[in-house]
Amino acid sequence: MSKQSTHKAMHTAMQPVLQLLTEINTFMKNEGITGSITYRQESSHMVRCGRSQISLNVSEEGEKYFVEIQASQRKISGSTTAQANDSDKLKTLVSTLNERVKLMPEVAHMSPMTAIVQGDLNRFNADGALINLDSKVMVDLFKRCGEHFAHGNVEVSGAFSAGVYSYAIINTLVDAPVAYQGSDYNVELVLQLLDHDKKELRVADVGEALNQFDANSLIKQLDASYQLLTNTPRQDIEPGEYDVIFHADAFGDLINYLGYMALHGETYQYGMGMLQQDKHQIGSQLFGSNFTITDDPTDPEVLFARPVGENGIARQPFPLISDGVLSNQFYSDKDDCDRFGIARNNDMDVASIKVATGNGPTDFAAMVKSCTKPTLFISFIHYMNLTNAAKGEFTGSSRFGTFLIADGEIKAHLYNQRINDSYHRIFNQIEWLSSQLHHVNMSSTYGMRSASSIACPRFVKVNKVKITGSSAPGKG
Amino acid sequence: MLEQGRQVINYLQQHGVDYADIRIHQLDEEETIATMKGDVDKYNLVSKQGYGIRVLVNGAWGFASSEVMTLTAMQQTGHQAIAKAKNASDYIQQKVRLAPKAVIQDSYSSPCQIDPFTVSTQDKLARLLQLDSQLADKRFDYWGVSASFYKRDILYIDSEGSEIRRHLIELDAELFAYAKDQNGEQCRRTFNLPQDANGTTGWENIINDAQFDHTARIREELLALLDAPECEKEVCDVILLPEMMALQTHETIGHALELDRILGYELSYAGGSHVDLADFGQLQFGSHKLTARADGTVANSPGSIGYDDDGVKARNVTLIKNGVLQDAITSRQMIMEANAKAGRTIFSASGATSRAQNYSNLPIERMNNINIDPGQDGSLADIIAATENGLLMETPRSWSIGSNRENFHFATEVAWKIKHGKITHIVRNATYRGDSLSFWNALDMVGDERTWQLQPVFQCGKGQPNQIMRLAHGIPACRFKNVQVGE
Repeated sequence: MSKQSTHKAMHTAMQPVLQLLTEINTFMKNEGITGSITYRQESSHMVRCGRSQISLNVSEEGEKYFVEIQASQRKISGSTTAQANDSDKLKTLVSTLNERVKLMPEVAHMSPMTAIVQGDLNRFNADGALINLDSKVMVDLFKRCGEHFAHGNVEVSGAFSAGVYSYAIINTLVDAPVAYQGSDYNVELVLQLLDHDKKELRVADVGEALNQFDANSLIKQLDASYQLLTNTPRQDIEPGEYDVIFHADAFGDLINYLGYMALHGETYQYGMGMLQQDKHQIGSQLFGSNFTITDDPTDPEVLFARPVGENGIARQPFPLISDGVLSNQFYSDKDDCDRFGIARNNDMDVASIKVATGNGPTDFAAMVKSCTKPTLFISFIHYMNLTNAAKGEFTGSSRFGTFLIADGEIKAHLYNQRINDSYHRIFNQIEWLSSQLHHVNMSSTYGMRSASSIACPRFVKVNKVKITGSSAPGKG
Repeated sequence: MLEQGRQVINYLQQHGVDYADIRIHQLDEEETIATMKGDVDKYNLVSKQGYGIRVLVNGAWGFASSEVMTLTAMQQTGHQAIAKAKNASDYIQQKVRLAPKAVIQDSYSSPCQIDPFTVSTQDKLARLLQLDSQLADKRFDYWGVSASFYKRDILYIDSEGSEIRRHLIELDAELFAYAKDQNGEQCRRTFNLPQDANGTTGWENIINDAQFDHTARIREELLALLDAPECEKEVCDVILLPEMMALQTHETIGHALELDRILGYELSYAGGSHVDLADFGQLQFGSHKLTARADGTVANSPGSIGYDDDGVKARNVTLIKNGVLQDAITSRQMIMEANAKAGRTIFSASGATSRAQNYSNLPIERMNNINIDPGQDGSLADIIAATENGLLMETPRSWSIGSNRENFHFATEVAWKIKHGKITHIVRNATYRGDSLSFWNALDMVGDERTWQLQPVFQCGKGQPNQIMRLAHGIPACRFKNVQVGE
């Protein structure tokens, strides 16, 4: 796995922004105001394809400033769109909030504001090729895909998003802002097979720089799935417990939910996740001993690593689940942490989650060959949601290719299967994990761009997953 | 700004666009207040300005947005949109065509008695903290109240000559309480402020006790839930109250009938639809008791905005009549494309549902008010009395829907067991699931107007880039036969 970007350039607009933040921070200090200012910026491009044609080709330029003021144990926040020459607009917002904060009741548990981290921490990692991307590159992917599958009665869909995003933060306890600028692209390419009951296939990719994008590879992967789906019979299976091999796109989604349900400290404190404080603490064996998760911004295998969170907290290697044992939880939000008298230790919003690999197969053929007993292959989970958060129970249905494997070969492709299980069971019943990582996109791509991905093994086999229904008529 | 907008449209026409529109958010403000356990947990003010420019060139869309409000910046943004349309036109199968519409010069304002932005901060805090205090109970872990107020002034100008101003005010408010049940697992009860379909949308809703002060009921229901038995697995009748009916309608009628989704434009993300163009006029979507509408003309609703972002005047469209599928949630572009694909005129005019979340988004088909007509099966008490073995269910806790909206699995915050026409006890962790068409065809009782409520939805997600939309569902209490629950 190599997704390290090589082509970096600083967005020229950042320097005036850092000057403006410093100016407003000085203004606040001179006015005797305690508070912080956060800047967020994005330039986003997106091309969307549907019915084998471009349906949407859009771009967005956005800059927002977020001001937070704390007066003793009173607090207020506000934000506005502004440009780097709009210092008067920001000063007006600061003054408005400063007047209104006096009306807020005191909050007894509110702790004093703390200084944001200082030092040589600014990172400008944006790929110049993504800052002003010509949408022709994005359109061409879908066009080439359409040409590749022109022989079949298929419709090409998908979305290709790319852009640059920045944040910078300063507060009145320090003199200098800390800033980050990065770029990302993420692509998903979908085929609908009109002659095959509108079955669907999907491939996806995520990266930091345009030179990591490989259209040929994506189309080749899609073609491989196409061959599988068009050369195997479709069948349905009875509800029950099945061994399931999840592709990284499906497993990454499970990990994403697990993050909120078990690794999000505030959720744990509020009792809104799957862990109960009287049963599960740091040090508890939650899951199987073959399951390890880290957040390490120094790990060369993760994407979008940030040394400082959007909350101004420095980030260090942060083990989360170590051999199944809960090692750490994220505490990112000051208001929530104040309520529980806990210090912030990270920023979950910019975490670089990685699931440790195992010794399982890495390529599709070897994975199939490894299945001698009936096993389901699930490539993607559609619309996962929690049916009982306290028990860690969830539901969701497979999508974009679900296969029945046995005797070392694919026997059939299946209707989409509905899973009703719990994260406790899933992560305690992992049989093996691939020895190779795959990046799964988790980015917010528009409206307030922020890149994120989960690195997890390409395939993960889990025993006895509960299947309760399917998309076959009458089986929902 | 009107003159500047006109200049931009003229400029784009001079640069060869086949069509152009600009949406300028001259004012876009939001105020959010949240309490928790007697404290002000959040007080946040948001102010935005910006615009989006959409053009058609060579039969393809291009769109660009910016927050720099000068004429020069708008012209540059327009050039970006033109370049994107030209690139997009390199891979199209059929050119975008827009259905005819009336040229409009008009304005629309949300009905509002008391503009929430004119109410003093002290009064707002006092009211929310009062409700917060009424939710408190020693068995509860957390409780609170949240309210968000939205105000937008949007100027729409298009190259066909329409100029429309919209002054929109919306409010969203909620009560919530959380506590641990007998097993130490967290339960919750929430209450979303419903809207009076014929009323107004201002601060008056928040200070109306009958409308918003459901604190005693929420508190009592959560206390009862904490010691309640779990929902058992069985097949029985279910009666859905308005908050749950809103979810059921939203997920399995609303999203399933978005025409862009039916055509396949949402495939890579949200999914498709089990509905095909051939189904219109023929498919028995539900029982004969089901009549559903996409009604943008409801007097007071976050789904009522006067004109959509294509500049089409709001309409009341019958989607399903006596169970038979009739129409869809449509826009100017999609009805032309669908009619061409079907080889017949299924859709006679845009349903005026093309909407964008923000100035930075391209409008797409969105639900407005997806409503179900009240029936003639009496009050809720009448429906309960007619039920031999059932569950009365309220308030969504979880939802997961098949990618073609062909099936669903929902969990509810609260349910009550019904035996022999009477409520016997409250149950927790209730769930139900089904196939969409089978479920709607199992609709056998529809409550009358006394059970009909307008339930707002402020967090409907759709599209890439994802857009969050505000809308509503006017729905009665309904009963469905033989539903799988507790699984």
